[in-house]
Amino acid sequence: MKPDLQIVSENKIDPQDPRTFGQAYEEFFPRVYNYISYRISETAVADDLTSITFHKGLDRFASFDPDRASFSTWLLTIARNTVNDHQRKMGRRRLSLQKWWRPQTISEIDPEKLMIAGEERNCLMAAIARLSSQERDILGLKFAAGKTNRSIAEVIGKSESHVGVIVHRAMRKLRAELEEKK
Amino acid sequence: MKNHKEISLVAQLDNLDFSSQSLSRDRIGLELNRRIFRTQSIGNKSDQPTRKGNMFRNPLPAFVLGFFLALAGFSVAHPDTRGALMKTFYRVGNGTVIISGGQKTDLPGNSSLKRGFEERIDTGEDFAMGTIYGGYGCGVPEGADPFMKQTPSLQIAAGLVNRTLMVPTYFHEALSANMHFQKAEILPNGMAALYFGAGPYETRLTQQLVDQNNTVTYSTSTLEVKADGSRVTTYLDPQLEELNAKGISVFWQAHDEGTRRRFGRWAEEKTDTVIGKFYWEDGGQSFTLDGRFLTKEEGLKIINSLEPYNHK
Repeated sequence: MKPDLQIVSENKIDPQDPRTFGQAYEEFFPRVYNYISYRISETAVADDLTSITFHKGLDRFASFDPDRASFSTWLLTIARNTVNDHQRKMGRRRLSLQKWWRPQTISEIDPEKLMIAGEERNCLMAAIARLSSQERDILGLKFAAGKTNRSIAEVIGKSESHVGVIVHRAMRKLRAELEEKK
Repeated sequence: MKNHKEISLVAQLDNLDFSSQSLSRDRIGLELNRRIFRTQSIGNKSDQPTRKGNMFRNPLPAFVLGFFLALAGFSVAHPDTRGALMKTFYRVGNGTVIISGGQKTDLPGNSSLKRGFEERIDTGEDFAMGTIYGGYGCGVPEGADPFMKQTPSLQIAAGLVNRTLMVPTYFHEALSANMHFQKAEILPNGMAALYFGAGPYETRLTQQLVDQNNTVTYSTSTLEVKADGSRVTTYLDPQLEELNAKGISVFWQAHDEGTRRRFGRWAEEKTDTVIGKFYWEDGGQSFTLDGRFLTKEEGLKIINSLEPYNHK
């Protein structure tokens, strides 16, 4: 398991000095991007939402209070809200947009072909893409962003036991799907 | 206790990394640094980080950096670079040129172009920026601010330039009205970049005044850093196709190999999308239109729909 982000960089973050946000960017980018990619399959959209997340973060950086939440929790909350906003906006237009442009999303990759080619990684990504939105959200926070169940509970506003149940259920689904394709 | 399969799945999920696919990591870093620098400049003049450091400490993708350096070379008319370039030039109009083919090598420790450009950026004589569409460099006219101005208002953007902006009146049917115009960026030399649509539908229209003495040069290049530290810039052949729109010639570059490669394995499997760019001149302005998934047909419709923006 990756260390929680708050352990990695917490002592470097000073909301009074925007340069520390710039320094934290390089370190936090992969996990924010990976979290968003758990929830959004299209690479180009994940790029845009990551950009929006960090720019919003910089906009609000001066108001970040380390006593209220860790920097990682604060930043991932922004990322999560950004993805939620995007999905709300796009939900109504999804069908008509696909008529014009059909990117090859994770969910469109044929798991069988990929498995034959020995690409277990892609098969796993395809399986993630078929999880529910809530399951992708929580697995993204846990594995891509490296958060603990307790931290995830803070971010999503649910109990730690609720998070544990969702993680367990999602892992069971993933395992079953991967087994089925073997 | 977790069983073997569970541990294996956890390990796979832990190691799953999407971030190497990102097209924007360097661009976002540059944008953030630029914003932070501006904040610092306003807040504390004596403690400002240099843009030189920010610009070159963040590794740009090879195609972006190459493109950036090529543009920089011509925008600032560095004598070393001009001497080293023996290329084919496509002339789109009086003030628009596209470089094709050829190679340039900067020996290790002797990158006078980079060093000179860094110094001019530091002093505010030149400006440079990186975008997913490529890099851009220009000189800063005397009295102009040495940074980009960004606004979500077309009306404000129109007030920031000393000419009439051209804007599209056609948008793809899938885009609702509030998704049409997104933002405008005005560069120190007056170039306007207008962004329409969002996400995969984003298209960018750039326009700037040109004449025989004030030209803009485009190129697409890759940058290879050799083991000895020398940097080899290779200019790609743009494969231009001349078309007609609004009664004038426009040039279509079917796709950008550099960008296409950056999309990785999935992009190679796409057969129904292209990453293209249009170049043309009209009314004393040099224009480009590009988008990550812009098609030729869609681009022509947009160009044909361009009208002068009148906000009154």
